[in-house]
Amino acid sequence: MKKNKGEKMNTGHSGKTINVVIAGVGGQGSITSGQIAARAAMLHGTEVAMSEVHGMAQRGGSVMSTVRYGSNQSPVIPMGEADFLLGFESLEALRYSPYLRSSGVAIVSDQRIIPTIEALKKATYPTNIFAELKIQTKSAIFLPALEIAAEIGNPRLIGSVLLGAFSAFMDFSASIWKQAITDIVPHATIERNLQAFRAGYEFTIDADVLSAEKPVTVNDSVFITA
Amino acid sequence: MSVAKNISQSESNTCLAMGNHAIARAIVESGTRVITSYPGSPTPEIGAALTSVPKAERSFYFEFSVNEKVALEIAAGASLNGHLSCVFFKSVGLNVASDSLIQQSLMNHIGGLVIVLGDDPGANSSQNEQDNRHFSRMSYIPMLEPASPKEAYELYLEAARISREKQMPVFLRLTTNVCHARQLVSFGGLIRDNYSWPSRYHRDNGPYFPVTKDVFPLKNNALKKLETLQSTANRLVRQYSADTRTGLGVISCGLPALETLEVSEAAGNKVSVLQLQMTWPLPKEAVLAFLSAHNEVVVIEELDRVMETEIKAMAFDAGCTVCIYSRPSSEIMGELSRHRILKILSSIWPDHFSASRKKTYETFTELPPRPPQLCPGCGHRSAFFAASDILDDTSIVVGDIGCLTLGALPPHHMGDILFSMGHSVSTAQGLALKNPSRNVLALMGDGTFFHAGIPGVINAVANQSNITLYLLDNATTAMTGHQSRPGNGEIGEKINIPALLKSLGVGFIRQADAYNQTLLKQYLQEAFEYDGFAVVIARHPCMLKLTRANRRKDPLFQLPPVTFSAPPDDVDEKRILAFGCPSFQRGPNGEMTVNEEMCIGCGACLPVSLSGVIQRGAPVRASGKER
Repeated sequence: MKKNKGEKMNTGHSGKTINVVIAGVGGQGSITSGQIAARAAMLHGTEVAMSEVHGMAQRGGSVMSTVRYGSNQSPVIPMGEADFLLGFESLEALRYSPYLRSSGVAIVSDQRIIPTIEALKKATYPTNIFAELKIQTKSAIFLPALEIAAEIGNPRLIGSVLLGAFSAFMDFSASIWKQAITDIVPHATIERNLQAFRAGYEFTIDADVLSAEKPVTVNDSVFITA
Repeated sequence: MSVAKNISQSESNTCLAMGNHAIARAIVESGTRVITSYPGSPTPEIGAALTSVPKAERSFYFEFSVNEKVALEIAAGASLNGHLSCVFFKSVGLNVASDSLIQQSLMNHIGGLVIVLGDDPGANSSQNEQDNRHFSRMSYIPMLEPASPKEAYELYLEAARISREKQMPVFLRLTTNVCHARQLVSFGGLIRDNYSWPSRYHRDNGPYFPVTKDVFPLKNNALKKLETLQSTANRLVRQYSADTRTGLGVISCGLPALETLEVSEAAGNKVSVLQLQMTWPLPKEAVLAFLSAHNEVVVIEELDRVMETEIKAMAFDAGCTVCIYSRPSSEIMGELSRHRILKILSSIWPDHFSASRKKTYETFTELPPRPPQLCPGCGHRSAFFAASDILDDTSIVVGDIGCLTLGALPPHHMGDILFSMGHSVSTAQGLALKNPSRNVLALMGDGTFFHAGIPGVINAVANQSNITLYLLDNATTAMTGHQSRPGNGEIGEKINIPALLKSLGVGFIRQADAYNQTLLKQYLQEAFEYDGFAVVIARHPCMLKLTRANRRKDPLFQLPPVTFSAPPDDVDEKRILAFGCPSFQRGPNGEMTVNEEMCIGCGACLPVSLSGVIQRGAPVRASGKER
């Protein structure tokens, strides 16, 4: 499944289920982004099911949630069946990458949240995440989401940056996404979230990111070298 | 739209509801008047949703009670007084409530009582994995099992209807994946009424006092009520037929039923699926009809072979010639994912299901884990650090339930034994019997102390047990989301723990702020030397709760992170690692650094460094940064 701006995933009307796995660290806001992604489907008239946290996620642990478009049944996505992986953090994206189909798309923030020193005794933080992701799927995008978010004014906007990138692959209209974001995020942050969303979208549309063998640098901005 | 609005608005509405929210709406819609709970994963969001409704708009009474047994008794009492009632809690919560639970089918519940259970296959957040369906059999209480948020909503309404009509308690069993799933659910309208809370208790509705021979007419009643549920059970089934006539069928319930359907559809829809929504008592007619229409049947259920055993007995009694296969014993643990269901079906029907995977997953090197951890600033960490200096290799540390359970993880290693909430003192008493050479330390949080810990303390005092209780008091129910509870001052008066202990006859009580390493170490040392039951209280407010409260008042609230005035020497580095605050990380060259995003500037780590290289940061506020 090679996609670019011309081909978008048809949500819901083709009878096909589109599976999205969202991975991150507790406290990053990945659950909220999942709710926005699901809300968009609701506004679009597409069936959707999602699942939230497993376990004790509040305490900085690894967090995974799922969104399934075109399904009104189980929210569970088995390994190897995700069409998209939204990674809020590089290591967590790699951890959950086995959920991707080989034709799936990984959309990953280049942010690194280093685990505790204690955890690093078991294994070191991987240095070649982009290459490892490329083994799981041909299509991996690394976004400087944290940097984009910080520029707009709040590191917590990374979720909207990632959703913007994700929206480039989906057939929901811009107005649906706008409404979904407006419905879910705190009132005072709507404008910045929309800005972050747009920045994520433009990054993905502008760059030929999917066919890249290395992470792409956009406008020479500082970018991940995995 | 806010959860509160979805829960309380009068008009019917459709929303993307979490299973727990769907239950909350059904509670309100059904006219449930009294709801009680003790918080525990996976169900606390039901309480959060209910309490998000402003008190003035509530048509119900809600409380988080001191423990599950108390919660159940309040709901049951209210039901005997004529109010439709509901109690909800986590899977192991039913163990705590079970003493009074077993009595409930003997009672004529004129109001109605729905018991919502959040079972936890996969032990995502529990200390065990128990199949609470056994309780329905033992207590003669019928059980409904939804597979999705939509079904959770519908089946709560059904449970309330059955409970009111038959005047018997009804179980609604959810699992973690149903509680936390979100789905579009259409809610019905609410009828706003001015409920006058009539007191309808009358002994003539009973008897409610079962002792000796009086038990039997009541038990007989309970059994008869169960028999009247067959038509309901037979109505609450969903049958999905196979496209081709293979003669193969699956009987299932809950989320595994939906998962089985997907597996079957992916494999060409060759098996029929019968989903049972009432799983006790089982619908005889529907099950027998399904069995006789098929040649081979597998029962797909999460955890124990509860339905399977009963369905086999049913088939035997009816003389059915159908072949009913068992899941392999490896499949009676954990959540039944689609992969596992496929594995089961392919091992039984290899001609129809192929478990071959298209892809292998072990392509990357081992990744560092990211387990949940004590938050920066947590007083428990400081308390553990002080204790680790006093304990020796022969000491035995008995853990307990709560955030302090995380103390068992490295680097703290605080907690060798874990049974249940509030067990630690009595378990320690047992370990210390005729065992004078080893120090036994019981850990307990304040929430658990009130929940179930006090009887153990009374017993230890009375029997002069020579153990030490290390009470870690953060003044809240932290692990499940800071629910208020009796004793911490949010509901009623604050209970003075040292005064309470004193009145129980505890002869050694010392209390210090958990950050005060010197005092804590001194007190622990004295406690170990003290001949008799001793209590050391390490107090510090939950810093997650405090930080959130501060940031609600001032979004920019941030104390300056600590800094290193010089690189820590080997001794200090070792101590910092043993302290284990996640704010300490290693820089690119292996040097120790402070993660400023994570550090809350609490200063708990200041006494950790013996040479004093950890210092409070300069009081500069990050400018223009929102939190």
